[in-house]
Amino acid sequence: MSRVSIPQLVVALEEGTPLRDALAGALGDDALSVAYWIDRRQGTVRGGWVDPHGHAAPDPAAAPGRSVKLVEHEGERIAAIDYDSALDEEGEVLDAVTAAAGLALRNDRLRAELRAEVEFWNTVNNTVPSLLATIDKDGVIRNVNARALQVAGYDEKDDVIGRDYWDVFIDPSERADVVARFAALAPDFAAGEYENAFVNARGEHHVVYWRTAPIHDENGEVIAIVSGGADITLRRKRERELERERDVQTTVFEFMPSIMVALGPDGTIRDRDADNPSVGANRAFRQAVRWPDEELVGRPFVDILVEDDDGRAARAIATAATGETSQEVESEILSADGSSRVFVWSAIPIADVTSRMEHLVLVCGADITERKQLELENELERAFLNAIANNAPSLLCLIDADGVVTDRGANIAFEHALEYDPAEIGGQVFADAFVEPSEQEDVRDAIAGIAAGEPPAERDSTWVTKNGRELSMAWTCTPLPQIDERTLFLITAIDITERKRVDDELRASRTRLVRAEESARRGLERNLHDGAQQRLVALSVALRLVESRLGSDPDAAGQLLASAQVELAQALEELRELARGIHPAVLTDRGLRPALETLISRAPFPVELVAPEERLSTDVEAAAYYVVAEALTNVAKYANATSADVDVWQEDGTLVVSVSDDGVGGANPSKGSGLRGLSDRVAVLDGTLSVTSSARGGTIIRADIPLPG
Amino acid sequence: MSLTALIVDDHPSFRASARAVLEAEGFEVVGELAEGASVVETVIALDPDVVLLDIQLPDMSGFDVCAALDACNGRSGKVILVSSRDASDYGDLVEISCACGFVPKGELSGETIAALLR
Repeated sequence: MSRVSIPQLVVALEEGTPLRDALAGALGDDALSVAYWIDRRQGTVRGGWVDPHGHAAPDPAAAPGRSVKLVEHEGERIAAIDYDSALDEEGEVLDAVTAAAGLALRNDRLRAELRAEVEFWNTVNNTVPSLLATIDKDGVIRNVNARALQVAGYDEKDDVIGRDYWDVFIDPSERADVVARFAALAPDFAAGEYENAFVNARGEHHVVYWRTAPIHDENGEVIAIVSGGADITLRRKRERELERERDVQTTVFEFMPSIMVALGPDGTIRDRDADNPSVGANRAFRQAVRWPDEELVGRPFVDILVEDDDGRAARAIATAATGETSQEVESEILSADGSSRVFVWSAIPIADVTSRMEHLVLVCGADITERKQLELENELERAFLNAIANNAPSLLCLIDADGVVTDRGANIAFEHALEYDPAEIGGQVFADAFVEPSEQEDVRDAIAGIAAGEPPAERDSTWVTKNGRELSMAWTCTPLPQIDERTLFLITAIDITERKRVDDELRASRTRLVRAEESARRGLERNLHDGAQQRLVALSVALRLVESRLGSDPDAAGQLLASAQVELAQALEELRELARGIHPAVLTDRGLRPALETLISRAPFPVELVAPEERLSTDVEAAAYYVVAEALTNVAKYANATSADVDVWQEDGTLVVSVSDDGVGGANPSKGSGLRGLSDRVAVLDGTLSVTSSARGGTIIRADIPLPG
Repeated sequence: MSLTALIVDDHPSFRASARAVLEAEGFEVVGELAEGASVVETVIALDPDVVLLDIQLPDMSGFDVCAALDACNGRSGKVILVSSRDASDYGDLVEISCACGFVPKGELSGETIAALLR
């Protein structure tokens, strides 16, 4: 490269040729470069090298084929020239060119420094998260930074610059207002701040908080307005959400059916808010207690409890004040009208939602007054039902679907009848524990049938007591209305052991009476057949013989007639005897005493009779007669007695018949059908027969026969 | 030669009357029994021409005795049942028995017996 001369260099510089190019031409080095030293780079505390455009440059340093000349002015370095090392041999030329360019170097350095500063601020402008815009006095956008461009919804500054700012940043509905407001600010355009919400060019919603300030020229005239903005879209959104959330919480708090009341850490009832003196409690609480707010706020919560003798309420509140949720507490809370309601509540630590930022205690609970009342009523009802169950004569027993007796599931009648202690009954399998083994299967089937929905029916079964006694029971099993998760069945039973025994006894006695009757008839037939009939047959045969002998042998016929007469008399006597045995005519015609007199007159031993004269009912007279007759027959047959006494008297509406003898004793009513038959006969009239007999001797047979009426 | 007879009845008075009647009418009474058990062996021993057999014996019924005799070489053919009751009191037992006849005790006579044996 050919060099230019120094005068040419000066001319070129004056003509505005860039300094580096001019120096390159003067020194004939195309690769020449210039760097300037700046004492304090913008935004830092250090100095540094920049190129003529103001961009940061590396520290100038010699390299193979290149040398560096530092240029100073008044003892301070201002620039460094990187040149071809070949020029080192022409040191004077280098110095002369540098000197000639001295002023130009200093000017160029100032420009580079300005450029570096502008670049710094541009960087700042475009990297701050704030929006920056410059508008002129007509509202036309002159510049925007990257963030403002982004919020406006554009990619290129040119899309925005030159347009009215309200077209870019203001919602169409507010533009007219903004234009008017802007016009009103002229000519001072005093600094101000405002917030605007708009939909940008991309359709995104934004909220921007702006601050504006005027920029004046050297004459104090406003030349531009700078606006700095912050995009507060998200913050606003969050604020709205919080507000809504608070609204929801407040609504929930207010309208929850649970009672809620906020207490300070000291346990006093709080106001609602710093600027709301009403009580910090929800509607449920206010309605439950009905105290005026001013009587609640500041009052210790335990003050409105009926009592906190054991300090449980106070402890619960203290627990919550330390940040722990308390246990549940049951308290009666006093109302303003003096009544009280029962609540179950806990104390919960909460943060103060108001601006005061204290830790509070929230008492949160449910009104259980009705439930308590119901429980009490249930308990009373239960006690009532228990009283009924325990005083019922029937046996009652509760079993589950598996046939297991529930705990304390039997009434007192059940315990007594089955001879168990109350604690021994619950948990037993009913059929296994209380039923006679051969009937257990049937009972189990019956209970299973009821559990499966068959209609209840009365059944007779044999139950067994703890001591092994067998009881006849008439029982039913009925499903109960379901009161908890279990289905229970009630077994109701009546002890029919005694009834059954009486029934059996009655049946046996009837059978015996029928048999006795049958036997009496057979005896009667036999007696007639063997006795009177035989005699009459013989008589008949004899009379035939008499007839056939009358002519041939009158003597023999006469003898036959005589013996026939004897036969006939005996037949008559036997018939009379029989008739008396069937029913003595004297008893019917004249009554008990004459009949007994006749009876004892035929006894083979002396009998002493004491009996009333009066007539009694036919049944009673007959029963009394046969008691004496049978007793005397027994005495004659077995007692080997020498005498007997028959006493008949009335006593408390009862006829007493007593036959005693001085015989050998040892009579046993369970043997011998005679006494048993008498006993049945007396029992038909609701009477009793007793036999007192000892081995030492003597027997007393006594019948007590109630007199009708 | 007179016919021989065996009287079986538990009532002595009847046995006496029957003997008197039969003997008066030419029968020879060869034996009297009061019960049914020994009838068969007595009949074998005595071989009477006629057996007057009471139906109601204390140990067994006359029908059973009659059946036992029938089983023993058909000796029931000589049996005449007697009773103080009427034949109809026994239903058709008299009818189906193997006895050769029935006489109510009150109507007993040599003629009736002879008529039945014919």
